[in-house]
Amino acid sequence: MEAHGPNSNALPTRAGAESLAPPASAGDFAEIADCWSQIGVNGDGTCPELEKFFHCRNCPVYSAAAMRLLDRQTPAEYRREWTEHFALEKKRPAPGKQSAVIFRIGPEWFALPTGIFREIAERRTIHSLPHRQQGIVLGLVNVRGELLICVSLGRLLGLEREHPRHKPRAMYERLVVTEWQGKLLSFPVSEVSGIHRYQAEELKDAPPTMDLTSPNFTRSVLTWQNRLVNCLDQELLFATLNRNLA
Amino acid sequence: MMFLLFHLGQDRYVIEASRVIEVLPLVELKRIPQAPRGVAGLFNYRGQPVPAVDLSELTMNRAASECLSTRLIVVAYPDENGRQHPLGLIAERATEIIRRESAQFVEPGLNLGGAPYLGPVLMDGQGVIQWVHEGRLLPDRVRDLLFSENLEGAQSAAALPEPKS
Repeated sequence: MEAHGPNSNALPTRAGAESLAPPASAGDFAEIADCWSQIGVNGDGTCPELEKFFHCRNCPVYSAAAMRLLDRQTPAEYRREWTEHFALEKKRPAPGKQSAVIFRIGPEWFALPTGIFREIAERRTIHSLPHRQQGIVLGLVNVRGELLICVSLGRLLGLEREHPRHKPRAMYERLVVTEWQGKLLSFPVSEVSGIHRYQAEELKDAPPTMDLTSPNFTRSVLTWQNRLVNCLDQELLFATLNRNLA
Repeated sequence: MMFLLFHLGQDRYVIEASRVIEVLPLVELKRIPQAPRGVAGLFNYRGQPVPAVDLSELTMNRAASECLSTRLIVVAYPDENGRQHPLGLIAERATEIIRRESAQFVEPGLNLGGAPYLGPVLMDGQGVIQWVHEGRLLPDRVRDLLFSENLEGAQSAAALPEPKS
């Protein structure tokens, strides 16, 4: 095989690259100027470049120093340890087939299938309706110019005693817009964690409910971040909600 | 487009990131006796023997330095029938992913002939970056040696004399 490697005469060498070669030994790193500790974010913050980069981690000086650290010799055992690691077959957990949006109402975490969610919006003013001060209907909300009925899921599930409008606003509170059988419905939640993917086997049967008088909306439970999440039965939930709207 | 940047000596080169299966740290290699120059050895890649090519040795006749920044880039390499095989490329200072448009690369206007893997170049404030077509790195003879389907072919390829370097 003929060697026609890169011709260093033909290509200009990188400015300042000479200081990087040959690969430095571990003793050479005392000379790295840790400007980030002097004039950067860990220092007094007087570096004029901060105006452009906001944080040292965006600055090329910082990343260049990080790359110089990587130019160290590999420590003993390094190659052997990685060799063992990559000799093993990769255990790739099967991707979750189902997905749900996990949200919190008061102290409880709930999950509903992702497909029924239309929007997760900021909390906004709920315009109450005359003669509808009781029950699960909180009022109307304006989402992108559309007036939607806003219900209290917490009240339906027996979680909230007081009206959510009177509670102090927390930064995590959201208004959730769902679509079930073509009808849009919104309800406030205390927090939305996001979309969680899971396998069907991860679902466990819900323990028998304590309160036998109310319909049991929790069909199954899911373990998520060491918490139990109530997976709500969306058919029963929306059927009950729609009935209560009338 | 994203590119994985690495160095050969002082110069910067890129390969297309989409061609990369995985970037590994430098692992131990089992040497292959009488292997052609540049073929650094075999390693166990998740239970599968995968050959590794030392790009520094292949192009510059010196083995890659044993640094933390020297990485083993696993790419899919096509054999003569177009079937893809994993191949490890040992590259120095493979520490950066850059985002460039392919149109930003221009033909360098010289063709040394012996290095068909060298592609167009891009110039930036720090100098020149050259695109390496990883699928053309190996001469056909070495490729057939590494990825031969039948043992007979492998033996006849191995019987060829070592190239003069």
